[in-house]
Amino acid sequence: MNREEVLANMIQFAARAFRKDASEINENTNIAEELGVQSMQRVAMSASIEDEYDVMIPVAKFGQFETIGALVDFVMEEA
Amino acid sequence: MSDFIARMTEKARMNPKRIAFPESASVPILKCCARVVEEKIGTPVLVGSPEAVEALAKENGVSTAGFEYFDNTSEDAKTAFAAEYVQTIGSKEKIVMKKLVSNIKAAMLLLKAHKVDCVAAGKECSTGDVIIETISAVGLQEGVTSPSSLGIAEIPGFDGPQGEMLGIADCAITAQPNSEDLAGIAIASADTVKTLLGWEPRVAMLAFSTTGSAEHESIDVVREAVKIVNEKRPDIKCDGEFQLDSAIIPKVAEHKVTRPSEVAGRANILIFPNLHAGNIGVKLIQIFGHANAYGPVLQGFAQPVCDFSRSAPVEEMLGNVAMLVIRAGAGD
Repeated sequence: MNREEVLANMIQFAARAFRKDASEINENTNIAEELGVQSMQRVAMSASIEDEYDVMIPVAKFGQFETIGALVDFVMEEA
Repeated sequence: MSDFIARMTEKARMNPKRIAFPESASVPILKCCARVVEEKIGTPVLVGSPEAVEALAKENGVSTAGFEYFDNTSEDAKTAFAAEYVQTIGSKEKIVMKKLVSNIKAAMLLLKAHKVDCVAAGKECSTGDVIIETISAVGLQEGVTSPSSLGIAEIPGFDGPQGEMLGIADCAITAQPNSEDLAGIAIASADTVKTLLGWEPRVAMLAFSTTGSAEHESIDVVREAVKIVNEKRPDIKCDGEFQLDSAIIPKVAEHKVTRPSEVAGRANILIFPNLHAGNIGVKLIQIFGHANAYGPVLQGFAQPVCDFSRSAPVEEMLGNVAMLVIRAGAGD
């Protein structure tokens, strides 16, 4: 599993969950400020991450990750 | 049985469905399943050990005739399902096997894989758990950004386009919806009401202003939601912003709504601007209007799921399941 692949997947998951264009999302995208804070969307993104990497991120913990890059690092460590 | 539940049960009986019940260790759930079989509205598929369910049913004098099971305590059953799920839906076998240990997750995967037509839960799980597991497994309906809860109110003495009945939303889920969320709530409510009751939906988006009689940023959210519904679903008659009286009283609408509207004064679905208004509104009509409120119907998901109130008696649960079965048959 290399970091670029995980980042690419994470951008796709975020685009789907937060209904954004994937081209607008990158490693430095601030999740709360640029994507949103709705728990439903975070649940949808967590579900995609769990389905792909078997890494469970509870909604309450999701807010701890400031950027997409931080999420990628967490998944790389846990998966 | 109330007239409303009787009507819903009769309608559900015309197109019975397979319903997953994850809370198989609950006696009220077993009683509800027995009523589902008795009323011929569907086949209950209980998630859990058949032996444990049969023993609990026997202990409580509940007939299990007509019950089916998904035994998530059996490695063979889980392995076979996981292999098929991975092939038809996707994901990884290890992940599916892990999820199948949880009854509610297993029920949602059965739904996603079309092994059942709908899921009935919430007697033991919280509403939050039901929503999170549904979003995770099946996602949201097209055009909807947030799940919501529709109540069907029967208000003695009210003389609206549907007699004493009105659809009202959101009464339980989304605290402060934005315009996209509100539009989704309106769309889901219109679809639910049409499916359940056969009404032609006329959706009023409520506010403390009628077509510009007041200005506030919170009203802009409602106006934007009307635009979104009209763009996304021109087949739905949706208008606003309206005060409650302009929405449901023709004489007030004639006076206050000067432009043409197919909704003003004869709305049959009311969308509250936020959960404060929804919750207060429902309690007002229940306390002062002595209304019966049916549901709530959990809506907005890609596949139908219902959430029982934890204090609901078995007949109310049967009504919820009947409405769920009708919704599950909507696409047939």
